[in-house]
Amino acid sequence: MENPKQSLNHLKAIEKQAEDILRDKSEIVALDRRRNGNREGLRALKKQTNTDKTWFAIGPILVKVPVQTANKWLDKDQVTVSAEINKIRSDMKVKVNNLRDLEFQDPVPGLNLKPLDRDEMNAINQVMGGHV
Amino acid sequence: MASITAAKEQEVREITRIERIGAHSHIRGLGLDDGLEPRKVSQGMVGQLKARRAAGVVLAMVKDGKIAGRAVLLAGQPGTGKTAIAMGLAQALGADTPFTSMAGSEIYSLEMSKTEALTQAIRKSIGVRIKEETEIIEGEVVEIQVERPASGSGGKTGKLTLKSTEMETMYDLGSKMIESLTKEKIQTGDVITIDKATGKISRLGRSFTRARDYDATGPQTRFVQCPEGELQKRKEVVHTVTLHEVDVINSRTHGFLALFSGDTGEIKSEVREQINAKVGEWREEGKADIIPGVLFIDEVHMLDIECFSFLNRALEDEMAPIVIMATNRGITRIRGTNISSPHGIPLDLLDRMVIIPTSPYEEPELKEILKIRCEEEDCEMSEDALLVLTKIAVETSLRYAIQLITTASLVSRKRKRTEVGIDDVKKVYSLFLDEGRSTQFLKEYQDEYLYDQSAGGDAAEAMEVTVQ
Repeated sequence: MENPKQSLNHLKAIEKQAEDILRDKSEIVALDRRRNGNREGLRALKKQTNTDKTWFAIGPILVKVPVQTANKWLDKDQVTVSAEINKIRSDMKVKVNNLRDLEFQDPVPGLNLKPLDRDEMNAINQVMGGHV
Repeated sequence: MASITAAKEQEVREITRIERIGAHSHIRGLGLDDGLEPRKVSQGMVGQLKARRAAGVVLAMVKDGKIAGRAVLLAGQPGTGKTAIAMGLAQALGADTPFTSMAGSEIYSLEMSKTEALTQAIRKSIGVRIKEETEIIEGEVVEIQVERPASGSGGKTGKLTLKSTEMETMYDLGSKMIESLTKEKIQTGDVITIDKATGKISRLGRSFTRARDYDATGPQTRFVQCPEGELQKRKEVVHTVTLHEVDVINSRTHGFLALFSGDTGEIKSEVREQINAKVGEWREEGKADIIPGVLFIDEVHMLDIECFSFLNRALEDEMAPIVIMATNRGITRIRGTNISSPHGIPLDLLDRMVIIPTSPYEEPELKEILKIRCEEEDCEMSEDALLVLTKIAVETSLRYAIQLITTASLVSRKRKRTEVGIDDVKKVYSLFLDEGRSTQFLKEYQDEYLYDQSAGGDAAEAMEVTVQ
């Protein structure tokens, strides 16, 4: 606090990091919305059997494309979106710990652990009296 | 946010502590500032500045994971706050670090051997931090549509619409999912989660926005907020289990039943070795963290020579907790031998320990402690009465004075007074003998008691055992 400029810089760094995390969070929401939209689209295409062409929205333009192509596009997009979400999630962990570091707090315990397998977790759940 | 939940957990822990160790229920921590300097009166701790400062250093080392596999001895006269310091240490460590508290004589049980009891206590003090990860779909049910096929044969199909505060989406359902939805009695307005891997549906409660749907709701209806953010979430939960708990699941097929019946019996050493190997494997794969916790053994002079040599060996193990012991004995016989040793602990073990001495409280400190205890026991005491009580504490013992608080407050309540006065304290002082007066009384009227051993050796010996 003796040095206002330094304190201000420090606060700025904290705000920046926090803002970054919030942005990531809304990014995940947007991506998940797209993922769910794609999923609904894929399902609708599967149900539609008698036509071999379908309308497809690319941005503001509607195009008529073969069902197979539409399927391929959607599938590809699904993979990209999932990968992107995973990437943001793992980056976010690092950012959260950075933020806590800036705020002079200890890192979240166990944040970077790898999860246990399903069988292993079932065994552990027995001890904790949770659902098996 | 995280700090709030942490604080809540701490509170929960405190409540269980109160029931177990009433005498130290007022302790909330070690009462140190950020620089580990002890404050005079803080978090229920009074005085003992040097000992608390030393305990603070130990605490910092525990937090850094530096002194795993070492021992600390708190030595001092009765009533000088040894147990209080250990409790404070436990509170300051937080909920995540395992802390096991036992009395030295607890190991003498008919059900299991001494070393087994010690091993269990040691393994209860080592935590394993693990993470559970599940992909779930979490949302509020907007609509469920179920279509039965017209022919009557074939499975049902349906649609489920879920929403969060940010988005809404529709899922096509197969007959199996519809079955579990009906089984869970899911209806519009419920907030549910679906586990992606198993397809298990669980109901979290009803959405707040639907709270006014019905006038009459059952008492078990739980209202929750509509979930935020994305629908498909990844939930990561970090658990801390102790090695002993992991041992228990693997030693029996019906693991968790054994945990609740309280009878775990002896656990085979092969099981323990397997667990150690597994946990070591997890640690190498980055799946688990080992947290060395704290094992506190009160009245450690009650352990015998076998236990001490076992402890000596156990402390060298790579997965050993920090062992804190407390004793109020001076140079005395080591149990199970005829050898005398300081604190009744063998010299080789003593050599491995960091010894923190506690010294008797001064009068102002005693007054402060009595004041804190009065608050803790919801007892209003007048200033004069407190002074008298402090004098009693100086002359007899602190424990006796603390016992007088409760009794005096009962007496004053009987007299329908709001505050405990000098009369009440005097009254209970005359009603209940302290240790000194009781001894005096016995000496005076010894020949009128039964089985008088004509004083001397035996009586004195018996006294030493009973007065702890």
